[in-house]
Amino acid sequence: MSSRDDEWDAGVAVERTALAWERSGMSMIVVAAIAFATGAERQQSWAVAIASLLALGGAGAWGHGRLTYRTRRPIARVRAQPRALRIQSLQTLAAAALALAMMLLPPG
Amino acid sequence: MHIEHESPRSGRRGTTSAGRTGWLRRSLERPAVHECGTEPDPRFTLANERTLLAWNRTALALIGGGLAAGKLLEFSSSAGRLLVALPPIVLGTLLALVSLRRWEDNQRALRLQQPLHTGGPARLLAGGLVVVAVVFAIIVVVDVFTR
Repeated sequence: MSSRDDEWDAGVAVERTALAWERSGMSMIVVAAIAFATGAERQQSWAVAIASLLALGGAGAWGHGRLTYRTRRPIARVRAQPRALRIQSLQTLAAAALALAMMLLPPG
Repeated sequence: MHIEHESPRSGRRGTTSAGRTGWLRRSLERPAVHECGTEPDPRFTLANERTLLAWNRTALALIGGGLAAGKLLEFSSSAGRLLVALPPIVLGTLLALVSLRRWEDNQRALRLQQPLHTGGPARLLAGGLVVVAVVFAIIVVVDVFTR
């Protein structure tokens, strides 16, 4: 692979990662919207509140992708982001816990 | 006999006797991801990160699917609704946990220039989906005959 190919690949790798973060944020917002609608229908106000927080978390992940990777060039400065990835995984676990609680607890 | 080794799962030099300690203790004892080995090619770091995000989205799809199934599908009993909604949500939870663990193991392997792990979340997803599909089929058949 020539150095020009390396440079091109490095550029699109950063862009692909930014897009992956943005898709993850949007996925979280969609799940939060489903939880919001289900909570509102079942009159579970606590679920509606938590779903709203999850939607904000999704927006945060979307913004993280944009801010971190759209502005961070060249690729040599890219480092692993354990904290951001752990927060994203925790949000997913929170969404799962919310979904389980909504299914198992009776309507409010 | 003690054999020196350096594993991406432990991320530090240890002995075979240390391998007998519990999973939780090993997890707590191992150093942070960025403390072992050397910085890998950033493209590999990014690829590893994208893989975790893709698994996370898969987990979210299962969780959202379970919620939507519980909300939209109608069954003759509430137990049917629960049995349809819970398995994908539980599978999504497990997937989110396993994929984070896999990301850490792979990042350590990259830093220590060791081979990446295979299996993990892929095996869990394949097995879990088979279980979910079988449970769905049984519930639908039972629901049809009990209406």
